[in-house]
Amino acid sequence: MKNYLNCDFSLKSWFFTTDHKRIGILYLISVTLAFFIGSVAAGLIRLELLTPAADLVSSETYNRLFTLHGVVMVWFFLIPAVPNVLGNFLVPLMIGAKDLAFPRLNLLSWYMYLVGGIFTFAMLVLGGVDTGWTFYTPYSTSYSNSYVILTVVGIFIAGLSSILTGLNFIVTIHRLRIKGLTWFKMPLFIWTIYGTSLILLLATPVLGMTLILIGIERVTGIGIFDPALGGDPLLFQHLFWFYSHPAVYIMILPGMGVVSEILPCFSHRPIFGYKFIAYSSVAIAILGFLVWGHHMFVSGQSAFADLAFSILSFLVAVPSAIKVFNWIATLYKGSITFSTPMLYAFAFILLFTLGGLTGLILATLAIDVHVHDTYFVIAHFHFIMVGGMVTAYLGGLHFWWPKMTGRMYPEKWGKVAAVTLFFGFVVTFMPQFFLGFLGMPRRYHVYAPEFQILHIISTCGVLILAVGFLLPLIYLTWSFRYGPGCIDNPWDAKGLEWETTSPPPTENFLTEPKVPEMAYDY
Amino acid sequence: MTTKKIDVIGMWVFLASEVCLFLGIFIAFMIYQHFNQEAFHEATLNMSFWSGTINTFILLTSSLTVALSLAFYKAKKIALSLGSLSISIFLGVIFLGIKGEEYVHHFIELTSVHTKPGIKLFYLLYFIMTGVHAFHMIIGIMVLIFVATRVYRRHYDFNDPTGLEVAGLYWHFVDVIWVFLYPLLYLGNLK
Amino acid sequence: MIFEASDLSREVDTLFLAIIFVCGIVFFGIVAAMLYLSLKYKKDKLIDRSSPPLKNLKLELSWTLPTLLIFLIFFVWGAQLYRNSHEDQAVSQEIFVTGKQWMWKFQHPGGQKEIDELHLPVGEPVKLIMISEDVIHSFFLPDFRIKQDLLPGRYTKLIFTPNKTGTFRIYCSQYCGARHSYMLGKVIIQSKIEFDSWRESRPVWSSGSQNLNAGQKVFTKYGCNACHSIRPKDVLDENLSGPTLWNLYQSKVTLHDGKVITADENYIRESIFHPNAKVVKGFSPQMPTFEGLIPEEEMQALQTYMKSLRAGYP
Ligand code: HEA
Ligand code: HEA
Ligand code: HEC
Ligand code: CUA
Ligand SMILES: [Cu+2]
Repeated sequence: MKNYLNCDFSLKSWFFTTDHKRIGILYLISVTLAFFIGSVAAGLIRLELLTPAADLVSSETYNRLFTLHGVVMVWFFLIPAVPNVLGNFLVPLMIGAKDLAFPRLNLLSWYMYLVGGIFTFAMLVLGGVDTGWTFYTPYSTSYSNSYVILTVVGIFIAGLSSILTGLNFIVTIHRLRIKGLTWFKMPLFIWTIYGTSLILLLATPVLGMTLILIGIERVTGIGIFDPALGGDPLLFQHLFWFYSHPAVYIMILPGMGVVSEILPCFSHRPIFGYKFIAYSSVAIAILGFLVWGHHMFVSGQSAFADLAFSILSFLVAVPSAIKVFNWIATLYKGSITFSTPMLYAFAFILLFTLGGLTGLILATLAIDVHVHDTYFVIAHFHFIMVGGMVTAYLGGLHFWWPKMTGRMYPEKWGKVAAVTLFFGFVVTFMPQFFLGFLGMPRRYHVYAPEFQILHIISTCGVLILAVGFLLPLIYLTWSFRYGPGCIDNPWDAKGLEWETTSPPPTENFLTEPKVPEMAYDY
Repeated sequence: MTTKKIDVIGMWVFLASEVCLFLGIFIAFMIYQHFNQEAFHEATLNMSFWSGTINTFILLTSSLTVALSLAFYKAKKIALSLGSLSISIFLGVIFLGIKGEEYVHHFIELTSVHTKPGIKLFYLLYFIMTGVHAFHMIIGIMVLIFVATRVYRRHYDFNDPTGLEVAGLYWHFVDVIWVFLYPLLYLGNLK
Repeated sequence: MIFEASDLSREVDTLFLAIIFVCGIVFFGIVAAMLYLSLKYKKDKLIDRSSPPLKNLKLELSWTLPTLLIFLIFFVWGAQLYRNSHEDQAVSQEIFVTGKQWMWKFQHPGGQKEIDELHLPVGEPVKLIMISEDVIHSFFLPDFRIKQDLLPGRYTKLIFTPNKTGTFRIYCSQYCGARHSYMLGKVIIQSKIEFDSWRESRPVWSSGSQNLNAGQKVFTKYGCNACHSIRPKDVLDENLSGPTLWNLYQSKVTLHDGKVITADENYIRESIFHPNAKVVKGFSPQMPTFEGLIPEEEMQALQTYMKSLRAGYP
């Protein structure tokens, strides 16, 4: 059988492909690479923090490490992970289309991502950047003597790539749905990709502009953000978080979409409260634009702004709560199999909920004043981003692996990895909540000896976590070549993507698929 | 769905993103204007009212000719269509020329040590805003030239010249941005 | 070790534990529901699975509304505490804090200076007026559950009341460059008597209120008195071009565009460094800028001096 993988083996056919599935695979490879660069930095950070003193690296190096870690993980791994790998692969399949609306633009996006990555990599090779992923001014514009401009250009180009991807998805979802697939028959994954794309499209330009301003200020030395030169440093923070808060929802919505696909499949029943989950995605996308100031409670913004941003942050948490409750209700009267993707989905719900609940604690004004910029915040977002999103990404990868490759992964190893990951994760990041409340500030290279025991536990956790991440890397790579072949629909799953062969042919559907009565008609 | 619809919608979605790009910088400008009212006012007094006004007029005319070109093409009047398109391109170049002439003066102001910090800030923001706009103009001119070659070769469907329409949309958008920049930067002395 | 070194600390901890408690219940509820349902409806179990429900508006509301309510309670509680702790209250001491890569400088109202160490008497509310000389820093007192960023070019403030004697940690919690994690300090809270004797033991150049005298000197050094009277309006000084600075601090000032603002530390600072940004009604903008001329310490002395220009100043 000819399919998109074996139709042509030449390198040219990969690097000039406009097939959304192949581009998805290209992203899979590049995003994995980025994850490992970011992870090595994380590993070094954790090793350094084993002892209170500075022994492994100098403070300059440490600062470059966590900046590199944050920049690579956020812009080159987590933001593109689910939308560009799974989204690229699945959106056209799920809506019964041949390809995305603009296939060549899609390839261009990948190249831009690559160029952005090269700039960032050049920065790394030349000596790194030490501003933190937040680039706060005036440090980044006037004081840092590291490669800020190079990094900023790299992120800017990666941002352009995101915008083009978002644009492509929006037009595709609006225009290329197969006849009869109405909005409320779409899989929820599509809804979340739609919400994500909206944010990508509308928030990323603001980041772009902000980065341009930083670059210009550094080059010309005229103050936009540096008060010594006549600017206002808080303006930078407002602009940055105006992008970056919506961006954190870019980093979770698609994960929620993946879980909304896995749960009904392995509960073998339709999802509960479809419309509530669908609308809550859009609500998150919209409300997410209104809460950026919760990162600035102690920055010196007005007390009124603090109050407004606090209550809005609570409101934006409501749609997430709705999702969690509906997922749990989906288990009721289901027929549940504990396969690997399902384990990941469960891990997602638990860890995301914990991360989200600690988000509420951060949104509470009086408490955030205490825990702001401590390890409490670090733990909060790693729970959501690693515990939530990375878990969902791995879950999705396992779930659609047979679809993408036509091969199975070893189920036993899959389960072992999922469980290892979960426990490794909790051991790594749970102690950080305590550290934060006890007053350990973040971005500290040396620290008081009283914190050491918790840091040691956390570093030990990384070793377990590393096993949990390396296992899938090994067995999935193995499975790509040698895994046992699978039938077209090994999970007995519903959704148009399962109506074609696994792996699908280049044109996706040989015969027009039949649109079911409703989404998830198990 | 026809590809026409898709391309046009794609352009609209792209423009939505562009709006946010300019919105960010407009807001930054207005915040600083609020904090440096005196200096910004003083700086706008120095802006050449006539260059700004003429340029506004030029761009509006070029928008009109782009729209005409589309209408002529649909009426299969290729020569006229190409003619109006060339006028647009020509006007775009003139716009950049006038802008460039202004830039020379403003650059001196920007880099001079005698300029007050607030006024420097104005000029810097001015350069960023008009610079980003000019960058869009350059892209726009290149797009129009590309489209013109295709009009010349009668590449587009006469009933449905999507490429021409999409290029026109983009060009109108760039003009509209200028229509917002113009009062902000040039009309301070009318207040 | 973390201490509760102020009343606020205890209140924050109470709120924190209350939220943890509620969230804990919710979380374990979710875990329990997940385990229970997924084991009960495990694939190989023989159990009634007929017509699983797909939607239920009542159920949706029954979990959304309580969630919203709980969220609102958290918000109100946290906001209340925040408002109380940030309210401007009468304090017995105002201390200037300057953050600088990578050290803390403190200046007491009596002119005593300290670096990376801050002595305070127990039980008395204190107000820190803080500014940075370079990048953004953040003054973090974990044992008091407070923190506030220090911005370059603008004052921010922090008010708290220690209720325990002892030595407590100061951290810089905003990333500020290579030695961010070395930017530490100590607050030393002493009994009133100990504090007073500490204060006496500090070198002061001249008797009396050092900062005040220094401020007066700065005022004449830069020739401010050439344009500004320091006596009440009705005392007619010979034609001075600037407004009187008597009773300026915390008074309402009408600007030339009709806006009315309160003259706080930031306004006074701005009036000296950017005199044309806000021009007082009835005056022409002829005050020169002193930006780059007056160093931070002299500015702090000037601020103290300005505040002293009112009736009944101690
Ligand atoms: C994917 C990323 C992601 C997501 C989804 C979120 C989600 C949320 N975040 Fe988080 N956040 C980050 C990533 C993320 N965050 C990052 C990266 C930072 C730090 C950036 C930096 O400084 O470097 C940060 C920082 C951050 C801060 C600033 C902290 C500080 O610096 O002082 C705050 C404060 O309000 C906050 C709040 C929230 C809230 C309220 C949510 C909510 O959306 C969470 C909603 C979810 C739930 C609430 C769970 C499910 C709900 C239930 C099960 C309901 C039942 C509960 C009850 C009835 C109590 N986040
Ligand atoms: C977006 C995604 C993302 C992801 C996936 C991660 C993953 C991890 N992160 Fe990170 N993190 C951020 C985003 C992310 N992080 C951000 C935005 C910041 C803020 C940066 C800033 O302050 O500017 C941050 C900051 C941050 C800090 C705080 C640094 C500081 O403030 O001083 C720490 C400390 O423990 C940390 C740890 C980890 C760990 C242990 C993992 C682990 O999950 C990674 C585990 C993976 C592996 C271990 C890979 C497998 C093994 C190898 C590749 C071999 C090498 C392994 C060893 C040497 C042990 N991260
Ligand atoms: C050349 C004259 C001149 C000198 C010298 C001068 N000022 Fe002024 N100052 C003015 C004038 C005129 C105004 C009112 C217009 C304005 O607000 O700019 C003013 C306003 C002020 C205000 C705001 C007063 C209010 O009522 O709101 C302060 C505070 C101030 N000056 C402090 C100082 C200090 C401190 C110095 C010395 C370091 C100084 N000035 C030197 C002329 C001067
Ligand atoms: Cu000063 Cu961190
Ligand atoms: Cu946020």
